[in-house]
Amino acid sequence: MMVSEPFSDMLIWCAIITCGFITFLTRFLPLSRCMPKQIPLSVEKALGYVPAAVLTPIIITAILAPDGVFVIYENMRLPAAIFAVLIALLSGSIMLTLLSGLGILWLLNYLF
Amino acid sequence: MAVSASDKKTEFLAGVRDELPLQLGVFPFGLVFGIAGIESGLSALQTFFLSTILFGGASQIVFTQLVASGTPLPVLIASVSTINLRHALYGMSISRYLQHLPVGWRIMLAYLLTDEAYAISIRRFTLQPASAYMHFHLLGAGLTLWLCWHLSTAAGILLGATIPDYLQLGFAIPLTFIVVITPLLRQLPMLVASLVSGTTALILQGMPWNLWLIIAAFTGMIAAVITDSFTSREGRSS
Repeated sequence: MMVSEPFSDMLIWCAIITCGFITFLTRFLPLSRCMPKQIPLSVEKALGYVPAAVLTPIIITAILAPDGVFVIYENMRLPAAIFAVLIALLSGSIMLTLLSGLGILWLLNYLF
Repeated sequence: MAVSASDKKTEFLAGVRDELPLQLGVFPFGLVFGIAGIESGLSALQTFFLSTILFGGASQIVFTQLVASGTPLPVLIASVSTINLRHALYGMSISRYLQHLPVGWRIMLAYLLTDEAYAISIRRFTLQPASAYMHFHLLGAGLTLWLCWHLSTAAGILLGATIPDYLQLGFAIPLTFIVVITPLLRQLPMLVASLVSGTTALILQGMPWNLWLIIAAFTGMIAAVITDSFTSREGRSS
C-alpha cells in the first residue's frame, strides 16, 4: 500500500464529507421515487434474505479476520462465538449472549 | 386526531424499546471507534463528527485504519463507500413501507438507516400488522441508535487509552448480530444465504476496496433464491 505524508486537516474533512455524502445517497436513493415502482418477484424475494446475507459476512469476518487478516490458529473468538450462537439459539437474549460471549473470550484469553 | 397522536407515540416508543437491547453491543463498539479515531491521528472533532456525518460503525473504523496507514484519499473514499453499499439493499427491502412518505421523512429515515435500526424495524414491518404510522418505529429505533452512538463515540474520545485492548470490546457487535440472525436461520433459504455469504466473505477477504462484503451479500441472496425455488417446487409436486 502506498504511504504518503500525513493528511492535512482540510483534506480529512473533505474525505469525511465526501464519504458521508456518498453513504447518504446509498441510503436515500432506494427510498427516492427515482427507483422503478414494480420490481420483479425474484428480486423482491431476494431482498427478503438481506438480513442473513449481509450480517453473516460482518459476523464471520469480525470473528475470523478481525484486522482484515484471516486468523484461525489460537483465535479464541471462534470458540467464544460458537458458544454465543448456542446461547442465542436457546435464550434469544442479547444480554445473555453478549455477556457469555465476551465472558468466554476473556476466560479463554486468560487461560491460554 | 388524539388517537393518531397516541398511535405515533406507541410506534415510536416500541421502536425505542426494541432497539435498546442492541445498545449493549453498540456502546462498546462506539467506545472502540472513539479510541481508534484518536489513535489514528484524527482530531477529537473529526472523530466525533465522523459519527454524525458518516454514521456507520464498520465504515468509520475502516476510515480510521486507512487514515492511519496513509492510504491515498481516492482509495480511502472508495473503500469506505463500498462497505456502506449494503445500505442500498436495506433501503430496497424497506422502501415499500416508506415510499409514500413526504421527502423530508424519507431523507431523515434514510440518514438513520443503519444495520441495527434496519434489523429491528424490518422485523416490525414484516411480522406485525401494518399501521399508518409504523415509520415512527424506525424513527424511534434510529434515534435511539444515533444517540447511543454519539454518546459512546464521545466516551471513547475522552477515555481513550484507559480502556485496555485485551477487553476486545469490538467483539460486542458481532455478538449482537448473532442474536439478530439466529432465529431467522430456521428457514432453509435463510440458512443457505447465511452459509454461502459467510463462506464467500472469507474467500474474498483480500479484495481491494472491501468489495468482499457486497459480493458476498449478493452471492448469498442468489443462493437463497435458488434454494427457495427448489424447495417450493418439491412442495408443489408432493
